[in-house]
Amino acid sequence: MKIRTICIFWILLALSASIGQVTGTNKTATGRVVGRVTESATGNPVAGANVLVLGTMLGAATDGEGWFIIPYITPGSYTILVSAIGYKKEEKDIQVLGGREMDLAFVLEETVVLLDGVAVTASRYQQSVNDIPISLSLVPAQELSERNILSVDQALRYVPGVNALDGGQVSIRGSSGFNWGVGSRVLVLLNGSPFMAGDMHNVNWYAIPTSNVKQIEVMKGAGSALYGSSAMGGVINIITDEPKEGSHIYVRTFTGLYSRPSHTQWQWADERNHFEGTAVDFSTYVGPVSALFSSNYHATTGYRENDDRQVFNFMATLGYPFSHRLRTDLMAGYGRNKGGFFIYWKDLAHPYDNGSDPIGYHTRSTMQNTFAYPSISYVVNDKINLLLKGRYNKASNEDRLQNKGDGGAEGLDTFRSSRVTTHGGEAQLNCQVTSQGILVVGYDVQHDEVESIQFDNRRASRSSYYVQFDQRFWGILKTTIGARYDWEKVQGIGSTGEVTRKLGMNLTLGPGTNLRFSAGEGFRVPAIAERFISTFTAGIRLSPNPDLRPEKSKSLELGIKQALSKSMNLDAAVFYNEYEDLIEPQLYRDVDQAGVTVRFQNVLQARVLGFDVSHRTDWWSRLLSTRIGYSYIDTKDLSPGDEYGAPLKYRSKHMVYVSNDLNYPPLSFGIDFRYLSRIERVDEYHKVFIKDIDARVPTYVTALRFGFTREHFTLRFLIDNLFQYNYLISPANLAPPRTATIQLDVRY
Amino acid sequence: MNRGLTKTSFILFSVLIFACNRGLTPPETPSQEIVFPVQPEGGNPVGVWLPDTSNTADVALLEEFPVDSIIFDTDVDGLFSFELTGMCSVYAVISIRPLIYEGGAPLPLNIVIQDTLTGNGAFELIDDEVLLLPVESTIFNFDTLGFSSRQSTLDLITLPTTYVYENLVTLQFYSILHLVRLGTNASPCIIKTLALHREEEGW
Repeated sequence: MKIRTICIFWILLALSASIGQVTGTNKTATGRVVGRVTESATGNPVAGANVLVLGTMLGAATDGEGWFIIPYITPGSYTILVSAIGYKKEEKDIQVLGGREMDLAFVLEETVVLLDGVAVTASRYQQSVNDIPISLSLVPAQELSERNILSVDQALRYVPGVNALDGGQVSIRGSSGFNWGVGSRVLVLLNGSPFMAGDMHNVNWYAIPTSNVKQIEVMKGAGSALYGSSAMGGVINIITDEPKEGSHIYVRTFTGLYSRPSHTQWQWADERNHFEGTAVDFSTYVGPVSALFSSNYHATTGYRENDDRQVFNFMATLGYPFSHRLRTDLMAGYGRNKGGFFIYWKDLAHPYDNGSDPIGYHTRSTMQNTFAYPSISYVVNDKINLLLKGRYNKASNEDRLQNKGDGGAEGLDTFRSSRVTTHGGEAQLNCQVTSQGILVVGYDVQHDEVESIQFDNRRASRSSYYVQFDQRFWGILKTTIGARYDWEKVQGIGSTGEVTRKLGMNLTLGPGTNLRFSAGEGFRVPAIAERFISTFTAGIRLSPNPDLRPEKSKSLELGIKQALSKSMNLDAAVFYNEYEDLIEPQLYRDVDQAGVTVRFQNVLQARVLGFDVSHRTDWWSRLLSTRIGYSYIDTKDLSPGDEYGAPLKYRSKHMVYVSNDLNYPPLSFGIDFRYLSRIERVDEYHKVFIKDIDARVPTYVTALRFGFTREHFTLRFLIDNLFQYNYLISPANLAPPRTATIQLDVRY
Repeated sequence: MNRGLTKTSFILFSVLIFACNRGLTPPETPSQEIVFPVQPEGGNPVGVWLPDTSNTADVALLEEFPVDSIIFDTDVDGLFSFELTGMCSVYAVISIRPLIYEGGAPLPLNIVIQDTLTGNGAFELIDDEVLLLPVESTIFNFDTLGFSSRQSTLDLITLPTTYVYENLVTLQFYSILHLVRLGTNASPCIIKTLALHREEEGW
């Protein structure tokens, strides 16, 4: 398999080079454009502005000081387009000469239309969010630092239509319920490459330093036609920061306290629970080599019994340009998450007591994740790019038992352990085949090796081919069509193949009005954990089911982006999703074991329909900003049987997000509010071993943020769950009480 | 349009914020406090336990009995198994024979308090010192026990029990069962059974 992959990579590289030879363009010396983007009113730099060379696939984003560089431009006449959120677009016609550098300055005026933004997830190349035929939300880095987000999944709780349950399980538009963290129906990418553990198909969020996140792109709706398995409900692409010119350092440190439980009978610890942490980012250039190092550490006593945690992660991003066409990058990191293991409460009278620990013991878990993602990008000419990416990911998860007291039985050794090593790679070719048409083709391969006590030792291999073609007509209609074939072979089971397709359209009706339509298919192959698990966990026996079939989905969406006035915009979408063969844990009478166990089974046919609306208003030159999001999600179980027509389990029908920001330099103030309606149904089998699981309430969470900025320093004071509201973050799992945090950011 | 939406947003925001003063609350009926004649020390009851043959049980009266002296002859046979998963199995036969002495001689009463305890299923720990067992018994209230666990011993403390003999004698007493952890000197048959049981349970 490895030899085959390498051969294909080299063939593609050779093909690209040949195309370059045929066109003759790579023989000519190229030029480059360097420039800076500033704000007209204040002269301040505009960070994150998107700079595109129209008619080519070349482009760049501005750094924190507003600078950008676009190298490798074939001599000729071009139009450079600069766009940024909240500013009018600016265009300049230029003449690029071979071997020369051109300096440009762009001054952007603030605008009324706030719909712009740049994303890569929808088509595997950078494009304006306005042009994308499917709903896509962006979470900028600023939101993570302002809210002291310690894990990327926490940041997703403020995205309309998205819900992140405890344990890192993310649901987009009701795609997922509660599956004990196994088998995510949302694909998570790190800079475009899959970042999912090969054994459980879950996400090791702890391994990603949040201080290094530049932007999170959340694509809603089935995306398997471009990304393959797991992209049933949507795709989350975490874009990390890039090294900037010069040397920069960023340090964030914080400490905080949990409030005591709001009811005295719930109090379980004498001491006050607390948390603290530090993040350090450093970026520099050593000659032509760019480097960015990022490391985060945080520790908490936890707010529940056996819920303490220590998380450390480190990530390095290195870049080296071999020539003006060939560049190599390496993104590598390590994360460790060590602490207690709280799955559910003892009962409602003792919600902070651990009900999932075995009698007399605490379960202690250690998770580790090491990864390396090398890549080579080769600019064949200004119309063809080749990207070769490798991936190595090793994740381990180990659970041990620890005596609660001194007088108990002797401690037992590791009782659950899983290690998975993933090797893979991808070759992607982007070609501008017509003046307004871009073709993306690629090949992806992955091999997982699992060694586990509870899943047994297993191997799985996957390979896939994808193609997508985007064409713009008459300057106002952009169409997308694509398909992908995925093949998978699992040791001891055999092989399966899936074809998925997509179609999308985006119509610009006028300035500030974009209509979009998309239809897509999704699928998810069962995780090795779902197929082969055999263990006891939290009082229940889980048994294997090798006969599981892949889950499938179809999604339809119709949406509009509309600028309502000079300072207000609206995004609305209606969606309809169908699901087939959904895998859920079910009670099962095991004849061999002569008992009742839980095992994963294909049981559900379902449909989800609804709409989501998001609205943003900026007053007085963005002195005050308001964002509101509302999602209505109506789910229906269509499986034959008693539960036909019932709502799906663990889904909220209504979700509301409100965020207000007041920026009056050097002071800033923010207030966030989240509402999720009460979950209507839970699994019946949970009632067998989880007490008071029917104790559920709607979620109302309010958070306050205060900030004071002076030159390089920002001091923040944050209060989360201001009203000490007792709600659930997953079944039988009480959310943290009110927390108060002091945070200091230093940036040089 | 702008003003209308702003007003709507503000009202929505205010209503939702003021709805925040609710949430989950503890159940209204607090658990009844259970008082044992001897304070249990708690610990970890998990393991397989057998009666301590050197001293199977202690029995003590709760009220003074108008005789010279009373001695309890006890015998306990059986096996108590408490699993990590919260499941237990109990089978035991308890015999208590009170020997009542008056004027230096034993009274000619043939009192034998005998009970058979059987149960399988989930057990529950309260405050790490009280065991709630799915056990059926006729005389002893054996579904609620205090316990004191050490490395190799487990004491089970019963709640007060009243026993009436032929409408002549009424005894109010409690008992403490002394158990020892099943060790390597236990019979090979029992060890093998235990090993098979654990293998089935996935350990």
